[in-house]
Amino acid sequence: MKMSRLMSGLLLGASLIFATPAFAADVTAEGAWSRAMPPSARVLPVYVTLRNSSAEDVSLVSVSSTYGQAELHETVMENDMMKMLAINAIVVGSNKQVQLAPMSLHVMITNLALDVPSKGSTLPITLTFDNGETISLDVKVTSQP
Amino acid sequence: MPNNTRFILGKGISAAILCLTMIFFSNVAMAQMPVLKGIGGDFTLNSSRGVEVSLSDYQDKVVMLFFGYTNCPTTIAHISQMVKRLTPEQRERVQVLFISIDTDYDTPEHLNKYLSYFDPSFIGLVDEKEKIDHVAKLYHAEYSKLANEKVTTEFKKLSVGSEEQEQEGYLYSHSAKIFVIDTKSRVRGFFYVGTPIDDMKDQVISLL
Repeated sequence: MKMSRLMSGLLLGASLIFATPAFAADVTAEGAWSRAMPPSARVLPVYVTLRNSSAEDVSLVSVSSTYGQAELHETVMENDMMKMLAINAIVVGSNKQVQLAPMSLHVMITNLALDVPSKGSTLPITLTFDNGETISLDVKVTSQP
Repeated sequence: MPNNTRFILGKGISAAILCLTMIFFSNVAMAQMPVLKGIGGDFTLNSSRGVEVSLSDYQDKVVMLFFGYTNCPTTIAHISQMVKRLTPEQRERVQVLFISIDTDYDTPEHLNKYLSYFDPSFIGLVDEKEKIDHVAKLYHAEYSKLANEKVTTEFKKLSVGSEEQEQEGYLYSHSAKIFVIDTKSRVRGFFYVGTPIDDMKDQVISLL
């Protein structure tokens, strides 16, 4: 009797622990990768898919990394011209997902403070959203996703 | 006419028809990449190899030429994936030339290290701005340095006129074309980062 009460208590506790992030996190990040760059590179691009499961739009407003200063960029094509622009925020609509990818939205780490990470390693970043959520990720460094 | 001779003659005729059919179809394939008039031409620029390089140095090769800068690795990564799918013999006959428009930062040494990482056979070209401008004009490939200002959801037209803004930015706007140049130094078409790798490969092989 005692034992089963203890067990159910444990199970309830465990389910609460595992369930908590699902309730708390409106935004999730998946499939983060950074293009493996030559040791002499001065920028590191990072790509990730963001999903917003909340009823409100959420914006990615800043990114930090020990590797350098992270900016939000968008590559746009206009009349056969390719432009990379710095942007203020990346909006993820309610129940939508946004894929950061080459030739599109991306995070660009500049002013590198550490050596360019080698292929197969990871680089840590923290994403901050305007709803106060933060997501820390170890981004896979690879030549292709 | 002995039967044997007739047989050989018959074989010969069908072989000739087969050859003609193949020539016809290879011409059809070639026709997808017509010679483009009024664009391109020879040039000479300093290279990542430490010596001057001219387009005419590669007359026996198919050249993929593009304008870019090392802060934008997407184009070079796309081309290197395509080149990896060629056989060693085909690779011998293909030359990638990357003209850097970032003459403030991309030195021949830096370009050499950068490109070797993607493919040691790739050659980077960088020179005085006037010389790069001349080549860009030949290829109708515009480029400009972007002001270092952030844009919000709506993209503003970035003004790049003032000297001060030009010095601040490190981002460029540049032609997204990859120029495909045949073994006679003639421009035959363009690829983009969005061109499927298999299509690029087939078209390059058709020009070899």
